[in-house]
Amino acid sequence: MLAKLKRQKSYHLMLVPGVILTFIFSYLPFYGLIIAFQDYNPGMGFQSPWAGMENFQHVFNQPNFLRTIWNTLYMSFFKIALGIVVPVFFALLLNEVARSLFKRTFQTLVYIPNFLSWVIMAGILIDILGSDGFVNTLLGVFGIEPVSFLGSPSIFPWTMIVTDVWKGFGFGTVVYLAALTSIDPGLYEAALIDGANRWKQTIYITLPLLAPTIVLMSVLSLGNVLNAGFDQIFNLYSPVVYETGDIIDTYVYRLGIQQAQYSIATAVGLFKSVVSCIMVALSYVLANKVAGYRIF
Amino acid sequence: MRKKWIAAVMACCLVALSACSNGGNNGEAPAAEPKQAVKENGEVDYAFGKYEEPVTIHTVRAEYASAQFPAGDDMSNNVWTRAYKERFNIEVVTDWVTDEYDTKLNLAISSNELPDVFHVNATQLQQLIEADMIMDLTDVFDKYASDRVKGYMEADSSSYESGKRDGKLYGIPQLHWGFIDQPDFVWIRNDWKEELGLPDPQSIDDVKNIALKFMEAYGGYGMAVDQTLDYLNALAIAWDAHPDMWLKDQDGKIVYGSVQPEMKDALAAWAEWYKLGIIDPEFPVKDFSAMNSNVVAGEVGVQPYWQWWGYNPGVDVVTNLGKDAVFYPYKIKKADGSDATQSIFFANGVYTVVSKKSKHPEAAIKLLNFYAYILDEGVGSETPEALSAFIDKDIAHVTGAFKIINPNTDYEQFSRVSEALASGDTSAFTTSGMWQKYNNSVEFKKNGTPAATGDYLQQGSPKNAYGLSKEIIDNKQYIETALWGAPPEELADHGSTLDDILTEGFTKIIMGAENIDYFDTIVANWRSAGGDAATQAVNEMYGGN
Repeated sequence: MLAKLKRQKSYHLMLVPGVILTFIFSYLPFYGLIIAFQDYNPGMGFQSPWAGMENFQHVFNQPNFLRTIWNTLYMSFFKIALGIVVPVFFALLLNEVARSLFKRTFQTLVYIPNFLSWVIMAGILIDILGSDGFVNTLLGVFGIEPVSFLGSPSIFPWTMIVTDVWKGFGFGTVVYLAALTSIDPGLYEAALIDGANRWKQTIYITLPLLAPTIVLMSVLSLGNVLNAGFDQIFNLYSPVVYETGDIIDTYVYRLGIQQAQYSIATAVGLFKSVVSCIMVALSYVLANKVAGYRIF
Repeated sequence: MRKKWIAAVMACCLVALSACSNGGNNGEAPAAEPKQAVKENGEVDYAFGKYEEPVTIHTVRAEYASAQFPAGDDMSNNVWTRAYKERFNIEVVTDWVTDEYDTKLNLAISSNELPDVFHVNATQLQQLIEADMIMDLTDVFDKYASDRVKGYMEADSSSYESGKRDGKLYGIPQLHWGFIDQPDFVWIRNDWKEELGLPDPQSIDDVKNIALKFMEAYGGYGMAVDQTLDYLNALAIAWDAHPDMWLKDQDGKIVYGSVQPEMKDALAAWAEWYKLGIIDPEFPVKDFSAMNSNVVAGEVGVQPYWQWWGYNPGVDVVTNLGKDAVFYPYKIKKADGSDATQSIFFANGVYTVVSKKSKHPEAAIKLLNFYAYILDEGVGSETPEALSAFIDKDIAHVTGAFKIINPNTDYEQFSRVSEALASGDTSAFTTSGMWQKYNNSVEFKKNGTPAATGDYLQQGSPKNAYGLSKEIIDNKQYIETALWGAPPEELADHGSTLDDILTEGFTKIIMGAENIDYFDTIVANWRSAGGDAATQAVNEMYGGN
């Protein structure tokens, strides 16, 4: 052990700055979590009077808090699920394309929205999805009544899910394409000789070899199950869709940050972190059991 | 190899050190009363006397983006700060300037790095008093404040009281331009109205009919409102409802206007308007700027709005559609034709406070005196050029914590400006603000200059907002909020959730997703979500008198 450490000394040394920065910016602030249990007054800082679990009680007793948890889980479940299925699907399709120019152009085009901030995307979407916007004009051609994509509580969550997947799937596609190129071409040749057609090759070679990457991406995204996309929803929602569109983050923003209620905002933040931590641990165990995949 | 280790460790130490370096305060005892100039009669000139020894005070500022500084000047170095030095020997040092003032100030408060003098909001004021971090200014204010500044406090004594706790003055309210800027109006596009030969609206139903006529003739929808319902709510007074306002009922108990039965009548009417297509069908997804961009594009001709319609969106409307497309304000009237009772809210937003560690609290008072002097007495004692440098191009708003407003400013200004516009005699003007409003009104009439639209519609046009406001104020056609100061903690604790319940529910009723009886459900939800507790707390805090 010691000998190994000595051999790898320079590597460990290179780790040190990163570890120290992580310690300072991610671990030291743990101390600040105590304000979740205080009646925080900025003037008194961490010496503010203790409040026990009062802040948590206050938040959980709010009549609309449970609905925000449900909305969050609902939207993030579909965002995560479609966020895996769609890029895999596109990566497989693109992989079949022989013309490299077309493949690269397409790959770049779908990746571009990923770089735009939601503030800008929201502005564009509001225009496109408005009652006289592009989408509704198109629907009108087919005699369909205008749909209120952003103003109808029953449609709003799906507008969020679809636009989020649309904006983000380029990144996943690139990752899966990279994974596909690492598959040994010899396997396909062997399958061809055995008489497997394209479809069979995909089912029996491509997908199983892609599975570890898919599992890894899923495990990583499960940690975000309580983040249903603050930037996106905050820029697109309105009071009329609170019922189905209000998520924990937007709710806490209105409850805590706007009114400088730091204790309450921290309490919810802590709650979210604990749940996320459990989710990550759980998904890790699942990934290990089901797919035999381990990170450590 | 050893050297490499040392270098690495040193590098790490640097990172750690720079992360926690911190300026310390050296606690000196406060100095005795500083030497300052005397008046002609030999008395010490407390209000305006210049210090003999230079005095330094630190402050912090919010960015004021619309100020147009001369080259080389900025928020922390400008005509005001130089005057502080020249006339008072006070060196004002700005520790930081920011767009996110409240957040940054909260950080400064929690890290105990307060400047000497700064602005706070009502909540921060209470927190700072509780944390014992700001100075009791009662005696200093008494001794140093000029008669003019004391006069402001008398003119709005309830704001003055709101800066006190247990009889001690901790925060000096910045005050406001006066009640005259608070009444709301319904603004109607004039060229359309004249083209169709429509008379002025005499009741709320006339407003509805004008909107319908406009839709018939010009298409689109009838009335521009936004998702917050703030603009629609401005019309609620036509049904005797006072949304968003805490007011006293017949028994003297304080109640919330949005949950009173009168509100139900207003909502029922709006639901009907929505069905008729008068209210923008997309209002739930439109914010303030989306609402106004439709007005600027000429898609709609009726808008409930505040007195400053002429500034925004008025300027853009005139730029885009020409001077004839201006909207004129009309009083909001009830169905029976009588004037509606306007809602007057607590108008003081910020307070000037002094850190407990400051050695010269009186310097802040002197600079407040100076501000009041320049704004109110400048014409006559200062040269027009000097005065213009202090005030024009929004430079009057860059003084941060050293700002105090005469609560009668707009009322007096409007009276003089409207008299001068009628008679052509400008000799009664005492402030540069009067000149500005007068000149811009004349300019708009002559050339239709878009930039002058705001002042013209506020004060100079044949139908102007302040003319109507003045009638409302003079005839006392208003009620004041019962919550005259900071909200109680129980109310603040709920953040905006209580209002969210109402906005969400009201929107559903207006859009017809729920029928009008849903109002009772909303009220019940509001009460159980904390509305009852908040009502009780407001009554305990403000119900006494």
